[in-house]
Amino acid sequence: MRLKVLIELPDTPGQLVAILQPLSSLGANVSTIIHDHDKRTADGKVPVRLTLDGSRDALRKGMEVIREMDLTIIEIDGVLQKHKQTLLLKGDITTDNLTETVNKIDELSEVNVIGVNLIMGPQLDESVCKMIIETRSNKGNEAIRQIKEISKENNLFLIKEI
Amino acid sequence: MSVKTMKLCILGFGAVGTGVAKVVSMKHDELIEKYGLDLVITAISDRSGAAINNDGLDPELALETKEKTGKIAEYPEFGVAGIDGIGVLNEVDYDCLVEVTPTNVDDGEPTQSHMLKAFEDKKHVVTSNKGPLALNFKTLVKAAEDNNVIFRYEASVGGAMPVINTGSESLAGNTISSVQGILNGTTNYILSRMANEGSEYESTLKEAQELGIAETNPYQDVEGLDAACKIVIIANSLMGWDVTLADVDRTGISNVSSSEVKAAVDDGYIIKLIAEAADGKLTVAPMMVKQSSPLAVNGTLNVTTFKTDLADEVTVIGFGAGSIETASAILGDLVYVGKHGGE
Repeated sequence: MRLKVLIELPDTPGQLVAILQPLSSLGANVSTIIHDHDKRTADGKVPVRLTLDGSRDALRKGMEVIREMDLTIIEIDGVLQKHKQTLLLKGDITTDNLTETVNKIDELSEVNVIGVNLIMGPQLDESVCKMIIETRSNKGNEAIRQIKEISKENNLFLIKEI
Repeated sequence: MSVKTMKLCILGFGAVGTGVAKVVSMKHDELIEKYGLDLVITAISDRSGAAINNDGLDPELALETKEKTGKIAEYPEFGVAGIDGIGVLNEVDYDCLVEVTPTNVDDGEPTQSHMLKAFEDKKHVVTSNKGPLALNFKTLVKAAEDNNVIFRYEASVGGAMPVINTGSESLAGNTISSVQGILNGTTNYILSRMANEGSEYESTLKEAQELGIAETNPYQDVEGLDAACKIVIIANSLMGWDVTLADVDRTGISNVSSSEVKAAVDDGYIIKLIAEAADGKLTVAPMMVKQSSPLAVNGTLNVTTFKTDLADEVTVIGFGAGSIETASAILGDLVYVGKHGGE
């Protein structure tokens, strides 16, 4: 079978070879490589599109190898690998507490806060903050664990999505 | 077909125990015809004492006695007032103990002593009782193994919903990597009503109590203790973990307000009390489930999704409580014991 993968590689020599070697040893044949130098990311990484041929098992293991090298897989066959989750926070939703909580969550290395929506209840403590976060698809659980701690510190009750 | 007689001692004659007596009576002839299994109840106990007859009690008469007097000890001729569970087990001739006394999540007693005594006496045990299983799973399973008897507890998790036997038999050979589910019907009823009606937690709980869905003291249900016991049993029996109730990170539903429920519904989600065994952790907490998810079941229904290596995801849905529904799971286990329990 064939798989099209979009990954991000640091722009330093040897990065591509470092992933091609394990892929070929797994029996995955790399049939095309396209560097998108003009779409360099804000943190200096280069998007690289790979087309891989091989057995389902070889390709699956290949994806694991790339992930283990801590490289970001952006898309597999056009499907985004970043994971969006909706969270609900309830409790002391004063401006200060909310701003502090959102900042703390946004500062987590693997989490981007991409939306915050405050729904005011009849009482302030019944107000709900709806937050949409984006994580790497394999970092979602760890992110939630950290967000849970932050919520606890700020006396907020967290409801996560499954 | 040869017919095998299996004598049952039923400890506990509340909702589940009376359900067992009903289905044993209702299905008696069918079980002989289908499985060559003649189920005979030789003892039934409740708080008042017991009825014991080694030649067999009449289930209908036992139910009638219980309904009229509230006491099984009033059973004509064979009633014994004041005898406790251990006393009954010493007196009665039986092959399989049906342990359906009320659940005690503090120390699992007296259920645990009843079950351990039955194992030592080389008797099979079928139970719906979560307490001892959630507290001392390994001890009980080992006691059954050491004595070479069968121990079945399908009814302890999810009532009629087949969870334990699905995981251990239908999915045999699979590695179950995670389990997520709604394992408590009372909280699912409350959260479903809050989502559908926009009502507040307190008034919905009251409604559930009036309908007999929630208990007068709803603590074990609404604070997630019941669901926590069940996920512990699942993790121990199907995933090979060694955990107890104390290992569950537990949050109940009493903090969930209508504003959160509405916020979730507006985005296509529904809040459910989810019990989860995943990544080495046990959690019971309100979580948001997509309304299109198989986990988004309504009313008092229970649901369990297994994630496995071979079968991928498998979901079972069913009623997690109710007298006859729970008795259905017990009867399934009794038929298993009848088939595999030797003479």
